[in-house]
Amino acid sequence: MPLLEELGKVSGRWLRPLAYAIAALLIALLHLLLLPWMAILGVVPDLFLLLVLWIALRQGRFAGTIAGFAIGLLQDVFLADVLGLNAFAKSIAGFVAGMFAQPEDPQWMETTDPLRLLGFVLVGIAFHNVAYFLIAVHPLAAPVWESVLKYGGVATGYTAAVAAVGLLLWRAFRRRTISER
Amino acid sequence: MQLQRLLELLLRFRDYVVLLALLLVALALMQLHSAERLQALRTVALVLTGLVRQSLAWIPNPFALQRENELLHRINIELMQALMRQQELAAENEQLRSLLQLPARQPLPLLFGELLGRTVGQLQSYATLNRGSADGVRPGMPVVTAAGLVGTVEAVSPHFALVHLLPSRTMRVAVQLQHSGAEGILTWEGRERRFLLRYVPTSVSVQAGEPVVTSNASDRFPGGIPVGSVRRVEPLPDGLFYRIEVQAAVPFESVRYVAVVLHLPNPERRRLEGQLAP
Repeated sequence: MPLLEELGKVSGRWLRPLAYAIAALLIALLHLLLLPWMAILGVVPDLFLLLVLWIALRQGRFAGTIAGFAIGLLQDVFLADVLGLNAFAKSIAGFVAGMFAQPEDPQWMETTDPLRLLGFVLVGIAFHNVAYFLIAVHPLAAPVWESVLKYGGVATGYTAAVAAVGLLLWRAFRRRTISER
Repeated sequence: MQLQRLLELLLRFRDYVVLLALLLVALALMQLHSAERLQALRTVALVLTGLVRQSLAWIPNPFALQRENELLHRINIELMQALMRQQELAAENEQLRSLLQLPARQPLPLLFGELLGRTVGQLQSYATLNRGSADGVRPGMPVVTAAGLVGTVEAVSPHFALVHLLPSRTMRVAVQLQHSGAEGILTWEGRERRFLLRYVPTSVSVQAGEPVVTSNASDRFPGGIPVGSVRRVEPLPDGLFYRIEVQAAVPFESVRYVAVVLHLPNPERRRLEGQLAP
């Protein structure tokens, strides 16, 4: 039995990163196939970013930063963006969101006020979009800060709206599974 | 002892050190973006995404099909009208050219293909084309539809090509106003089919609705490919140039069947112009 327990621990340790990797690939697939039809002002909801923020809030600052870099790089390669741009912005977002994490309490996301949780997500999204659009809009002729506010604002609003819906669904699902137990 | 202290310090500020290191790597990657080795990585990603899209291309998108259908009906009517007018003009042009003893113009060779899907990033859009280097497609070739310019080929694998679509923040196209002949640079404004035409002097008369076509001033695209039409004109505060809004001719959100113009910029001309560049 100790061997089984040990095996369980090891596989548990590997299962989570594996699940995150699979989630990232599924999101890449969604971005390739479905999201282009949902673009507003040339911007789509950044599901990769939401995954990074989720990992950061669940696992903390260190894991959030590394996940941000890895997932951002995957996004750069698969969505043909400037290589390193999403890795840069998402590392910052993972780091910032990770500062709100409480890894010592595994249930903290279930017990925290959803609006507060959404606030943490919003801060992560805002940091990401300022970092991203400061570099991304540079070649556009319009004044940089005006463009950052314009496109970053749309991207932040759109991604935050998707995050809010996802958060509500997740909370409802968690509440149901806890009450069933 | 000192090494141990350094390690302890690094461990204490582990999160900051990792963030800083990863940011530096990301910045280095941005600098190397167009390096040859990284292009190979992009080609691998292109093949993978191309295969995924091809295998899922059978899934219909009712919104896109409806829009495409409407558009094709409209283009059909416009093309019939344009064809009739063009036949008259072609005959007249041929007559005039023979009078001037000019050589006849050759039509541009086209390769038809299908866009398997679009990738919209933040202010960049790409599409995967089901034609590749095995069909003669090369990076830099323009991609068009009957309506006008769609974009350029950015990367190729044997059976797929990555098309950089016009609505992208890094796209610049040398264009000219068809009636006045005034030239300028077209950039994307951030809205799907809305572009800005810059550097057209106020000494030229520009009217809303005037067609905008690619210019021969740049060798990147053959001249005369329709790009769109003038939507709004207003002089800039300096009074020297206009701010011209251009509505693109191609509905990028629903474009599916395209043609690659098998034209590459002339290397001799590029070299010469490169010598003149500051």
